[in-house]
Amino acid sequence: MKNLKSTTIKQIRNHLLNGEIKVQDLIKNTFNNINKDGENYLNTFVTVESLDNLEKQINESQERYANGTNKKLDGLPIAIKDNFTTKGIKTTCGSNILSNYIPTFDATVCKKLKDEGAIIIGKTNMDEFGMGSSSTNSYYGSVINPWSKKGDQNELYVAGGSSGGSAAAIAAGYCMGALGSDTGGSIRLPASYCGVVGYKPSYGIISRYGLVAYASSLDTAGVLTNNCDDAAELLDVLVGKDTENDSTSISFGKDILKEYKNKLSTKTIKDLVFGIPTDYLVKELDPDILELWQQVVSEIELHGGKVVAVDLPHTRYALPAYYLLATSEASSNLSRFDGVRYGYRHELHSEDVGLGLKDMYTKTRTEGFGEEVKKRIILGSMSLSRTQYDNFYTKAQKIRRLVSDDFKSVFGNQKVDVLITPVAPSPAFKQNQKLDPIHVYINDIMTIPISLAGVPAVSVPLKLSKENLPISVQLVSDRLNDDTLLFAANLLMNFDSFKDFNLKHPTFLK
Amino acid sequence: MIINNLNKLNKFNSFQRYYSLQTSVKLNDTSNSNNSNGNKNNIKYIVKNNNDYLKSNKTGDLWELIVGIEVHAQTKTKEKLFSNSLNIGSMEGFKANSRVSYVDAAFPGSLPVLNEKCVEQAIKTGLAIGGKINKYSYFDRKHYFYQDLPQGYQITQLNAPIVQGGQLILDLKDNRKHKINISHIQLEQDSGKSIHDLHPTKSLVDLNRAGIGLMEIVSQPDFTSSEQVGLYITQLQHLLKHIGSSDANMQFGELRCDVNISVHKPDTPLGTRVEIKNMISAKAIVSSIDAEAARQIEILENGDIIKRETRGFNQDSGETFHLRTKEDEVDYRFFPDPDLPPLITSEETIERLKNQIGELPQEMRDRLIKQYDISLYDANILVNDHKAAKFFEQCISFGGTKRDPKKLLTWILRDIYKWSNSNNVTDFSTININVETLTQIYDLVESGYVSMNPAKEILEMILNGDKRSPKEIVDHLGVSQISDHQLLEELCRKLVDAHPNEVKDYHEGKIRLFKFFVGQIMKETKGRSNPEIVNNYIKKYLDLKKDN
Repeated sequence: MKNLKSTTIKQIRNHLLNGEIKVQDLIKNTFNNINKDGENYLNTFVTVESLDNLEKQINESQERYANGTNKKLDGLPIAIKDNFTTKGIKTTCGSNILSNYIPTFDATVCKKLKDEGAIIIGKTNMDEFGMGSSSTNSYYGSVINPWSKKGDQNELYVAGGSSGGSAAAIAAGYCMGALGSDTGGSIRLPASYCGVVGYKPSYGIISRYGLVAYASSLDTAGVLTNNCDDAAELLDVLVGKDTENDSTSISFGKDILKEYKNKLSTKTIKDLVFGIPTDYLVKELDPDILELWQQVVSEIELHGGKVVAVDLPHTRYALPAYYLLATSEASSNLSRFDGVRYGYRHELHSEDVGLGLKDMYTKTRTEGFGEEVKKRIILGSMSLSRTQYDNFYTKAQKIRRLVSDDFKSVFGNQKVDVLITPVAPSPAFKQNQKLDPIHVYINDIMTIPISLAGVPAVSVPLKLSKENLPISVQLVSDRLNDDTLLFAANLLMNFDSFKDFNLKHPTFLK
Repeated sequence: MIINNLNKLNKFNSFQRYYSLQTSVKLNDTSNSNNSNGNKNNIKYIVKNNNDYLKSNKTGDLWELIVGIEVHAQTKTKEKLFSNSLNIGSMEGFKANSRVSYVDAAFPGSLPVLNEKCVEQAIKTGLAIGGKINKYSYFDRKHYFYQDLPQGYQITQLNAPIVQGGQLILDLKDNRKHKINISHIQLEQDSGKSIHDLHPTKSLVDLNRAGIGLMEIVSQPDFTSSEQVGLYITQLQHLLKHIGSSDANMQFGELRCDVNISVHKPDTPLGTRVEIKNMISAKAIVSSIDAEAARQIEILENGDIIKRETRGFNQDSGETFHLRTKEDEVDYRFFPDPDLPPLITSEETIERLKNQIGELPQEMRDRLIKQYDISLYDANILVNDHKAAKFFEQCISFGGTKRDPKKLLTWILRDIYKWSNSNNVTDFSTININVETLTQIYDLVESGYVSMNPAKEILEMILNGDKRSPKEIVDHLGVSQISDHQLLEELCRKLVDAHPNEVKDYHEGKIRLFKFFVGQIMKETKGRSNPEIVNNYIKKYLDLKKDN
């Protein structure tokens, strides 16, 4: 069977339709791949679904292909980040505190995927509660980047985070698409480290119901795929207002797949104005990435697209504002993990009985949360505390507004359609590389302003660095212009100098 | 003497309830009691220049009492504030944790979705107290850890509540009026219930109540006597029930109060306030305020200072007791809830709700007095349960017949209320009587088909559950009234003939023997004779004998 990495959903669907592939074989092959070089070889999954559990679904899918009633994603193997609740499948958020938690309801996104016949093959590993940029902050171990150097334990690279398991699963060809969540870059960063498409839509157009909250005002469900067409196909299923369950969900107002296809057939690069925000030219920028960024600009101009330099003057304040807002919300959202109703609980020994509730809370949360989560809860609690609130939370909200206005001005007055920036200052780094926390936070510097503004962005893999690691650029558009954004991303990926990237395969797998 | 007072209070209340179901409170009746209970009741309310004071029995000094109240009233809605679980948390007889959704139990990934009906109830309440509806309001999270608070925070409204301002005018017993300003009404979630006494080492949690919508109605510190507080709570309860925004039953926890109390000497700065929590009746609240005021005055008169604290109230001892000091309280870390967009209310919505409310209790009371020429007292009783008022008005013209409002009122306020009070029924709508049935009884009496006494017994049978129509019961019991002139005249003639001695005595001045003759006829006809007709014939034949 073909490696899924170099195929599209449309191709696989055609194979399924004309009977060249059976759903059963497709899914079986998926599980074989995951365990081929060793059980859950890249540690991409916290939970791998069993073939037995899926048998009924597989048969039904196959039947629908046989009688021509197949649904949009029928029979396709899809991975779900472990912070989306899945009915009957353990959902841990990469945390010990939910190590035994089996939800009784599906997230809206999971329900929509299932309703369209998608086969959920497992739950992907992640930084605990989405807090991290490398997928090394998981109670279930680090995710291995499939582009790591083969056979050398010192040459293992991080997958990026926090949706590292989803990104690695796509890069490894385990599945046709994966759900991720992006709070400050958690889809785009691992997508760039692993060399896949990572799409974060406009805030609100995909329901957050069932996405375990890290920072509610920033959390955005999105997809990781091999190419833009697949991303559009998944978004077609996922986008939609969820009035019943999520008050922050909004209507996209148009048919995303139709609009995307329409643009592919009627528009060219000459219809788009690209902006280069000079504020993203930071001293930490890796030379390979800078070179790619420049190359993209010249390619666009070569193909007749217009490129202008733009200012996003409040970019430098975005990082501290983000870490105050995200941790403030996290400190609140994670209050519910107290050991009372579900999840891990520190069992008091008989001699402890009477020490009471406070003691149970303290021990449960101390043992249940990892270091990074605790660090962020403390930071957030500080930022919300009565005496610090105005200094931190309120100021950060003001900065958020200013950052958001920067984008409004660029997309509004300056009539820019798509911004192009690096995704991160550098390609994936080594697992054993000791980084100080500030340096780790700086990895998010290019993705965070976009999250604060709630605008859509996509990480587009274009080539390999000199170190043979994938490098990408980030495209950003105005809110609710997701169709234009996907169209632009597709144009770039199909430039002659970049279009072969998808044929390259990660080196770590046999 | 708080204890003595309490006993008086109870008696007074049951007496009062007989007529009105109203919790009314009498407190300053300490004149006759001796001080055998020491300093427990060392205060007395007095009124000077229209202001209320507390007079210390020990020093004779005057003190001013300042009280503010936070009333928590559960919204009367089918579903909870942010989830679609049924809103039955306060009702008895439901299995613990049987009305709990993922949102109520704060399961990972669940999100709150605002129930517009709760908002409407809060807006209606705001309009009824003359408050301003904030067209832009939003929700905040208030954080603390407790087992019955699943989210680890309560969703409430700190900065931009739905209702701002408002007032309630109290009618004090001595005919003074007292205005209470309301600061605001905020919408918030109720917590679950913790049960600590069912298991030796564990606390049990019932989340049926968790997430029910509460309207927190926050008053300004405008109360200067405990009587006002009692009246305020009662009046607010009636208002909420009247407009249907809350069932407001304290017994079921649908309405709960926290009060803040301080005392100070006139023309001196306000005293340190103490909060009293967890009281289960208006009566307890009134008693607790007096007990707490007495405690504070005693402390201050001894030269000590009042500590800022939260206290509880022990109804048995009539004393308040320490719960926690303010320093123990956590930093609630309020911030706007990022799961909920701002709550925008349109002018159209406000207008629509205004029209839904209709007549407010005081407007209704004034109209009833004017329209039916009934007393203030009776009108108040009717309006206290607006379903009774509605019932009354429907009876007047049911079936196109006009009935005498005052006679109807007697049926309702004396006979039906007497029954409901002795059967502890507090909600008029649950009484086994409808407009058709009562008007039929009324009409049977007025048309002379049945006389008053059997009619009252038949009403009682119906109230006790007899499903037959009044006429069926009358006919079945054979108690219809005899109005047959020929028959009654014959009976009266024979009776007078048969009792010459009594006739003689009657004419010699024993006028009361007239009742003997009427009584004999009633006895013979088992009380069914039309008394008017009997009176006429007895008189006729007695007078005939006189001429002889």
